[in-house]
Amino acid sequence: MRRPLLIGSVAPSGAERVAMRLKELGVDFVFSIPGSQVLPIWDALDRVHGPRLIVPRTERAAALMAEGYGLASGRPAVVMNTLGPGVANEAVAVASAKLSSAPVVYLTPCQPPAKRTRIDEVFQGLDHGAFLSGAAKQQLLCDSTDQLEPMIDEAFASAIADSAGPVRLDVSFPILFRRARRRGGRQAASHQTRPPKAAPGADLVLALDDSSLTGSATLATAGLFGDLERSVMPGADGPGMGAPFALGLRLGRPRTPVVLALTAESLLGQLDTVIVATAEGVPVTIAAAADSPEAALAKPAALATGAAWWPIDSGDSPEAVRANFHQRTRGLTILVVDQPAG
Amino acid sequence: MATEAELSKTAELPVLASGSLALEIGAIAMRDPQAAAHAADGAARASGRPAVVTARGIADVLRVASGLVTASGDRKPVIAVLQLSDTEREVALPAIETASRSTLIVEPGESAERLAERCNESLQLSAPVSLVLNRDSDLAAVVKAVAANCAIRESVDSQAEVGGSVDLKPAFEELREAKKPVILLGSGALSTTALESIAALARLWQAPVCLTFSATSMAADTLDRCLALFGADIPLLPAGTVPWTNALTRADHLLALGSGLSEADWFGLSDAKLVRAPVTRVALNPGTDGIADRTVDIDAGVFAKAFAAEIVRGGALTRDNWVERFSEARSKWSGLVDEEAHRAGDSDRLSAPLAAREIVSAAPANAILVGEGGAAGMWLASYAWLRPLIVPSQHASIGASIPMAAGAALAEPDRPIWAVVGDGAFFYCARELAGLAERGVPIAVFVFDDRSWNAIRLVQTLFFRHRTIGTDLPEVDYRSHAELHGCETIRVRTPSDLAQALSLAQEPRNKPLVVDIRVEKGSIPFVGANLILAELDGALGPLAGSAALGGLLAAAKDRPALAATLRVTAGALRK
Repeated sequence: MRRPLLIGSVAPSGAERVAMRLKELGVDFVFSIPGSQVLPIWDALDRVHGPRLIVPRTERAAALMAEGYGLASGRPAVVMNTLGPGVANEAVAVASAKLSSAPVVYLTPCQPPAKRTRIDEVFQGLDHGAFLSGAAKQQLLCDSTDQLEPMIDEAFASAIADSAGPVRLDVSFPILFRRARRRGGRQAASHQTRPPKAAPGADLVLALDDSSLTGSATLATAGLFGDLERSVMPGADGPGMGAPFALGLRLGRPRTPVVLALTAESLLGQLDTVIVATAEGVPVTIAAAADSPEAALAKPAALATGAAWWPIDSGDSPEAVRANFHQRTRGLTILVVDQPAG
Repeated sequence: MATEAELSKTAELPVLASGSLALEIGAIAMRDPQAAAHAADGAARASGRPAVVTARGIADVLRVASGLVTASGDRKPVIAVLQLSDTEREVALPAIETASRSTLIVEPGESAERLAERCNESLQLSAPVSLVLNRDSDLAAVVKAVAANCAIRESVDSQAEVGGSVDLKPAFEELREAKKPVILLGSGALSTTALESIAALARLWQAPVCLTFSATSMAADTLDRCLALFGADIPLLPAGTVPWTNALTRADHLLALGSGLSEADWFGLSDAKLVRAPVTRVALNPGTDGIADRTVDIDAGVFAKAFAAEIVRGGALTRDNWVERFSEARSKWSGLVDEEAHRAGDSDRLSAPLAAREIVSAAPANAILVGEGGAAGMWLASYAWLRPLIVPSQHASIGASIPMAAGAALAEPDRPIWAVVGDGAFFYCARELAGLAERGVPIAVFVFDDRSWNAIRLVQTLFFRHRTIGTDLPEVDYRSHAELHGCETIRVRTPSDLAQALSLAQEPRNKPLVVDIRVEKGSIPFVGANLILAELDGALGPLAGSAALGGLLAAAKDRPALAATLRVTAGALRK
């Protein structure tokens, strides 16, 4: 594919300025589901050799990946979903990042001012600011190209400051096409970080799909009981959100094994993340106790998604099983566990 | 709460929930709270009656809010009963208030019956409605009271008598001058009495009737009534088709009845300012609008009846053969879309238009077709002419068609439900297939597998010089996934495979059927071409516009329906 270079004599478009600033801030990944309005930035990200685009299958998954990445790396993760229904779909993940104090920046195109005054009548119109006012830590709105870099910097600084959390920056869609020279220095405020919050210093990161799984017997037989104390999960506690969150942990903590515990029922609702992880070069292993009811569902799920299948032998000691998890530093291991009673 | 089998025999509203809450209160169980909201929305769209969704706690309530946004865009009568603690409200309540058109906070000590009564009042004015309870309230009792007592009453207009407080004469005088009148029929004018009056007016005035996008997917029974009332002599034109665009752009006066005139009602036209005729908008509680030249706050049916009487008294100036030309155009258009489907495939190649056409042709006449905002849904809308159809119009949401189909099956158990979903959207709610399989619900789901986010990829092709970044999807075996969820499945790779799959879809069964259809990448649905042209004229400026128009014209080679769509829209733009 031809990749036209930015030409120095032509003033950059708003989209190009966004892409350049994200690169200058040292952003590794942009988690994004496409809509027409984000495409100018996608195109610019490619042309400036900017952060790597990760395209999950739902906006919610994109945002949960960012939460996991932010907690694991201590650096702000970037979510870029489209306006209207795209923002609607990320609601629970924004609240989740607030509850877990994950540093996440949501950079979203929005309708221009004239359309915002009659947002209910506009195609895919949604008042983003009102919708997420309870869930976000801070919300910013950019209607001017002059404000692009300062506001991006402010969003990043706020996302990691003190009590970290999700910061939203809405950018008026038409300014992404407007060409104007950048003012001031190109040096961004910096690659700001905070100490990783997810299991700092641990030799294995255990993620739980939801808090009810702390009583799972499978965790003990898999040698992970000792990891429970430092386990992590999405801030909005509820089943069905652990897989994208764990993939985010994996991307944010590249050299530490990450194990996600979930039930078979929850796994079947999150197979899209297994597909996305594989496509992004993160090998996934799905494990369950051999001959268990969980294995009957987990094995075909592994086959359908191209994940590796690991039936855990009942004769293996918990220590041996944990050691096996521990060797899997490159990929993501999903352990299918029993649902504790009650 | 009524069970699925009992629902059709009672007046009780369907109730949907997810997880253990569904078990606790005896609701129809969905896997995900957002899907539960979409299912309630689907039930409401299919039947025109309200449906209830309930959830508790931040994680579930916010997921319901995400689903409610789609229902809210199209003002569907979904009732959400939501339970939050004071602390949880700080986080979740703004989302609920924004996603709902009415939010009722439960009063301490308020009875379930009183709350249901308040809900009913709000439902008449502005749906969806959310009821927010605190953690001490009896959620099950409120849900039960709402399901038993809430309903939409046909509006009785206080200004029904002509000569009341609204002076209709100025509007009548302007409208009577029209030589090329067109009626734009919105979803706010679909009550039985309004439709009778509007059909009589259209016949007297000799005006073609364009449906808004929202009204194009009206409830199935309403559509049956509509088709019977309008008959063959008054052309009823579905949104996005060439005769529809022609009528709206050639009119010299547009009478919008029961339409909010939102962008989605006639998208592709309002943004590009293609409609140049004066617009008279008639609706109860019309709210804000910046487009109509005159707004009349009265029930659309009452207005139609009064205006018809005025025409009987004083006549109208409608040009001879004005309405007939749209009957002819409708027949011609029908031929073009069929021709396009046939040209786009051969015995080995399966194209999206051919697949969409064959699915619509094979669906039983009383079937409800369910689509969504991506290319697969637009292809369905391109062929599902005046058929019972559910498509989210205001938000063009993707990923909702499977749970909406589940809701439609709940509300209309005697009608077959056939849904399409794009491969990009499949995983939004695929897990809901498991619940449908467990309950033995025999919907048919057609997965358009073109290995891409096609609608978005098209925008890259047209506006970003074919730099298709991030929109190609990896190979996924959707059939295997559907089998994991307990569905009957079949894989389709050729037109003859499709014929076999459609025979299977018509047979009785006791579980969902999922058809994995491999179609070619890069097809442009003609219903969506209006939107693309509007974008190029409006947002992107003339340079991007001309490049995109060139791409569209190239794509229209051997595509008679797309070419006709481009001609009529570009022609109006040139004026």
